Amino acid sequence: MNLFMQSIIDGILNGAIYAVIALGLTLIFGVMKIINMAHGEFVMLGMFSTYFIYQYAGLDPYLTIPFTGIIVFLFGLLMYQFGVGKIPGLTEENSLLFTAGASLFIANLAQFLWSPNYRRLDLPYGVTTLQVGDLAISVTKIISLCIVLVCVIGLWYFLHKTFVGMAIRASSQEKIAASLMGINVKRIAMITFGIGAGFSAIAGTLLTAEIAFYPTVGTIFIIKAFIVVVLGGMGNIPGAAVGGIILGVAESLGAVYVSSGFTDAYGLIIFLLILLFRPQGLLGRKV
Amino acid sequence: MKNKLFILVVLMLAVSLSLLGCGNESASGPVENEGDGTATEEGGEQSVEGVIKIGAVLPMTGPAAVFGEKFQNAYTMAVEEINEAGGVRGGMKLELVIEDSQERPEEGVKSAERLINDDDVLILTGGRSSGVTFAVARVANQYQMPYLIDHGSTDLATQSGWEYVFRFNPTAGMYSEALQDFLINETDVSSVAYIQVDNAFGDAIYEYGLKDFFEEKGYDVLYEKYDENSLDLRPIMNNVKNFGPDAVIMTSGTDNEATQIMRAAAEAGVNAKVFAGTGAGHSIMGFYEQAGDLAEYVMSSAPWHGDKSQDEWHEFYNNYRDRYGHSPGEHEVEGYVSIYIIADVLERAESLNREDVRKALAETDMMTIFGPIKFEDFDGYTNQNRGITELSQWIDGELVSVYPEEVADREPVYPFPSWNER
Repeated sequence: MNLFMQSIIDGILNGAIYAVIALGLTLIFGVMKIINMAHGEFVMLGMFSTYFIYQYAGLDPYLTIPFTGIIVFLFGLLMYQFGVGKIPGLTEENSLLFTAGASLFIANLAQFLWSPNYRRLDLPYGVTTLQVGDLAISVTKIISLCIVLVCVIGLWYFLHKTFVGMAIRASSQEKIAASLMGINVKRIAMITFGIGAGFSAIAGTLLTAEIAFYPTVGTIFIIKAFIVVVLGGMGNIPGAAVGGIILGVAESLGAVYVSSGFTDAYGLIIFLLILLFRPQGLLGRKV
Repeated sequence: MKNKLFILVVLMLAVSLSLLGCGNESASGPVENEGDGTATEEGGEQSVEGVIKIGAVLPMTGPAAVFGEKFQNAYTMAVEEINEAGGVRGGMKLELVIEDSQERPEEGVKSAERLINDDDVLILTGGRSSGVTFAVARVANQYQMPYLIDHGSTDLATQSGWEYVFRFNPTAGMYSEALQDFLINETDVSSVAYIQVDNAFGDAIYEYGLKDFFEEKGYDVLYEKYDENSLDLRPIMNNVKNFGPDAVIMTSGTDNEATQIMRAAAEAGVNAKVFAGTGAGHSIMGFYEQAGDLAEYVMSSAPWHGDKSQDEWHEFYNNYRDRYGHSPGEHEVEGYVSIYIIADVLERAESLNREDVRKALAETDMMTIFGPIKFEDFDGYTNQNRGITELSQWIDGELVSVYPEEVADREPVYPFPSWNER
């Protein structure tokens, strides 16, 4: 029973991080219908930003979140302004090709600048655990979960209570009507792209406390992010949160009760099942 | 919507495939150039202005490039030393030709073919990972090119009866020998959790070494495998904790994975009398640098890298340090010794063609800083040196030999202190 409880808790904690990665992806898709293949690279850039701030300013990784978030947010704006946004007649297909190329370019540029070596943050509280009876819960993951909750609630508030947020939702529902109402759809798209990038950077920061990272690490996340997004429904924000948790728990339980050799397969099996039986995802569709 | 999903599925497939392709040590063999097995032109005496080329297949780009650089340094240093001392065969110089494998077997095959097509290359070495080494060995044997393996450890490379393939480092199956002896003679361990990375190296360690050992000794075994790209190994350690073994044995490919395993073990609170790796990730400095205190008292069973009290060993160590600014480890020792074996072989070869080089290689009997080198056929192996393995332990940030007694620098710390006592 303890093993089961432990697996569920670990799964939820991992799932929370998957959820943040997927959040940015689903937001960008929901508003702009852009399938962003460079999303994993945003996570990677978040990890490296945290690493450099930690190295040179000695700031605790969790305190770097506002900075990494903003750095990668700006990176996202630039990428939209000088890349994605320049594509005439932006469709899903050509934006997908563009972002796939950008993904390779960013990863290789990072490899060129920072070498392909693994890096890891050496945190004094890295493996501290909270003992609840027989359960050992990682402290860093609890911190992550709290930050994730703040992010999700913050994003929800932003989308529903602020003018820009409402403009983003309006653009995602009906572009032409939104622009007739005086919303600068292009600018909204750019901001959304930046926010999506910023969220993945936050996920990257949270992950630096857990794993080693290197310039090509993004490929691992992009697959997980797509599974989560499809699971929850493309463009659906609560769906991303639910999808992330489901994936985390499935991986954790699968590794314990089936076999640890196929951890990645569990996610892909769920992905296929969803495509077969509920292609619109578990939850609705719009932002 | 359907259209969209179709594209998405195709892209996901493409990404997963490219991810597979990057897998460090996947064991897919070479598929191209089945050929008719005839050798490329061998010619008679081959010497371009008194130069003999040695070909090396190494990962010079990609995630494993750090290892390629270690070998490149070691080879270069040995080649220059030998050339400065007058070369081989009364004045001929050695020249190193490196081809990049990117640590991918299919690239390794292409690299080996390029080297084989250069008639001035008389012998190959290098390979690095198990997957690439095996692929290169197959091509080398097919084209009758002598190949001296210095690090790649998959047992298959010298178990396939390939007469052109030689190996002086111990095979993966042999890596755990020192650990096996230690467990039997020095401990009362009766249950074991074994965790391996899912690649050619991990499989070889288990299939050719530990599997039979576990069965023969009747240990109660929990067997776990993980993917090298796993983000979280905690579920495995939750399982291990639930099983409650006396010993935890781990095969990791890189120092990063080794660290990830120990973090998960500490987090899950797995306490066992022995935590032992089988070389690779657990025995390189990067493991201690990344894992810090978590690495303390972890053991590693791996090839013995020479008698560190020997003068020759120190000379090599100091020269290497002066030249490159860091201490040499297993890779550097192996690379350095490989070139000295090749120089000895070239000196003894009757004439300078690949066939005579192979014959001379087979007759090798020399002493090096890696220990004695002699290629023999035994237990299903061909042209395999009987390497020595040792059990070492991380104590105060250094990996010191602790077993067997003949090579030990100190007593092992046993049992492993529990996580809350340290």
